[in-house]
Amino acid sequence: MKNLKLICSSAYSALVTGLATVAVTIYMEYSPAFKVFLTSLTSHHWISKSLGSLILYSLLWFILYKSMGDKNEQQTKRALWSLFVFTILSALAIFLFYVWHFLAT
Amino acid sequence: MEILLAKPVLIGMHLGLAILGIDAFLWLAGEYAAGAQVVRRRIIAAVLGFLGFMGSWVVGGYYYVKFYGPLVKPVIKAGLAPWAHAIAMEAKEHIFLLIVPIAITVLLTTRATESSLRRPTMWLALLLAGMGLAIGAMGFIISAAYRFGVINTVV
Repeated sequence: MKNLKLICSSAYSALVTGLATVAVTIYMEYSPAFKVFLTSLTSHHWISKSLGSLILYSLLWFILYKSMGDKNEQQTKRALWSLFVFTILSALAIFLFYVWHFLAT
Repeated sequence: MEILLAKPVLIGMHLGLAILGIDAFLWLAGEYAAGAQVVRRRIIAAVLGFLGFMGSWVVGGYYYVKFYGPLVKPVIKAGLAPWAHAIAMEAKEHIFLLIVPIAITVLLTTRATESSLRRPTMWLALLLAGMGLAIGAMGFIISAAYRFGVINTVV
């Protein structure tokens, strides 16, 4: 049960981190000030995004693990499939955004 | 240390570690597909995969920040295929950020003995391998665009 809760909280944290990565990536392309802010944090915007994604994932994992009740097999299975589907959507969103961005500019 | 931080070595390590990650998660998917019940072997495969992708991220990130931006990117942008940076590199560097949290999740799931978790874990392992391969293909396009960019500059 404890292991299932650990898996569930990790899966949802990874899912939300993926969506946040997409949002930050797209927003940064339209906000030079945000890019400058990210660069000022670590000397490079990509390093800030990399560390930010790890910190967000770890924080979410901790919060979800502490706040979630026990999880059963079915709920864990749903969390893993959700992660699978949303990862494909997140990766596609990033790729298609850059294709569109290149063609539009 | 000087040799380790040389540009070709960094690219080689970035690629080699990514291949380790891809192969390890393919191995893990194979364990699930074959219905193998050896938890220890699953954990070894997932740990190797996680370490491979993590190492590839760190080494590739160092190369990207230190050398790609100042040396490679300007050549690609001025070359025959500026889209290699605008699409392939931009997508690659951001899609990579999705991989490590999923690898950790898969690593945790390898300990689970519940049979209904086998299928989604196998597909997540395959997704990790597939994303690694797609990112590798983008890396190949970027390298080729750089080579042709150099030729274009010289000619």
